[in-house]
Amino acid sequence: MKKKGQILVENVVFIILNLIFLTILILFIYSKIGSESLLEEKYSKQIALLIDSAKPGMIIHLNMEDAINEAKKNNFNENIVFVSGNTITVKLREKGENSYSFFNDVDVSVYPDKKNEDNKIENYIIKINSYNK
Amino acid sequence: MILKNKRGAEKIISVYWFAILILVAGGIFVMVANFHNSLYDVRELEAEIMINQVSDCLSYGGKLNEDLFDENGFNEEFKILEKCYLNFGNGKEEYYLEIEFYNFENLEESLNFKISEGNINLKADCEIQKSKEYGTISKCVEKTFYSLDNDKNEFFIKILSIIRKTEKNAK
Repeated sequence: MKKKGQILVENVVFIILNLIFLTILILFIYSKIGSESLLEEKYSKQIALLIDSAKPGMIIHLNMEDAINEAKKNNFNENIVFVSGNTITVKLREKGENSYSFFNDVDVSVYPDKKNEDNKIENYIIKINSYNK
Repeated sequence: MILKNKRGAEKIISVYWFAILILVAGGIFVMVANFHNSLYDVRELEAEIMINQVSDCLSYGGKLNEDLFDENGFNEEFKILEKCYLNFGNGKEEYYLEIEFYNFENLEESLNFKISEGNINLKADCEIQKSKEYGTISKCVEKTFYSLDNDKNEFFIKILSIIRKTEKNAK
């Protein structure tokens, strides 16, 4: 009886440790996939490339729901995308941001789209106004 | 006695099992960390977009831009950055653009007209990468196209675009 009880305890401890291992692993992968820095980098480069390949008069709607949600999680309620000169910056947290420059010499405006039926902003609008003179 | 040995063996197996688990978990940690810590490298795409913009500006509908020529032939004063709406930033350190014109009859020999802008030192990086590609130096993209002038002379135009931006695209 005593021997069987010991085997059970060993097995339970073993299974619990296995589960702890797997949980840590999954949490680590999850934290890496949805991190703010990754989203900032992804969107700053994506927007810069969109501006590079755009022509004056174009209006681009970019779905940034995941980035907007991440900014909300970080209690960052300001504008998350802004343009300064020929550099685009995406900021989803108080400390830290990611910038990328574009070579297309255009005057560009970036602003959040109107709220949807659920009263949420999903998209950002990138408007290429004109070429700089 | 037999029972004791058996239990000892089980314990050794479980220690090995944990060692394997730690190795596998460590491997996955390292792989995921490596994958997510590396940056998105968009320089080749950027260089291709630049070439598209420049080729649209130099030739529209198969005809070369008239501003490329003056009464003496090629216009040496042609300002590519202004005419093609390019902004290489203040230092122009991150980009290099070179356009060479060839006579269609003789593709080996370049005509005496070349347009270049940006940091010429980046050209050395293209030479290095001819045999093997390196992530931590500039990315080079070269494309060619065919076009005509107003007198239907045929030209072959080679555009080389180089983007550095190493800090933002490679580790």
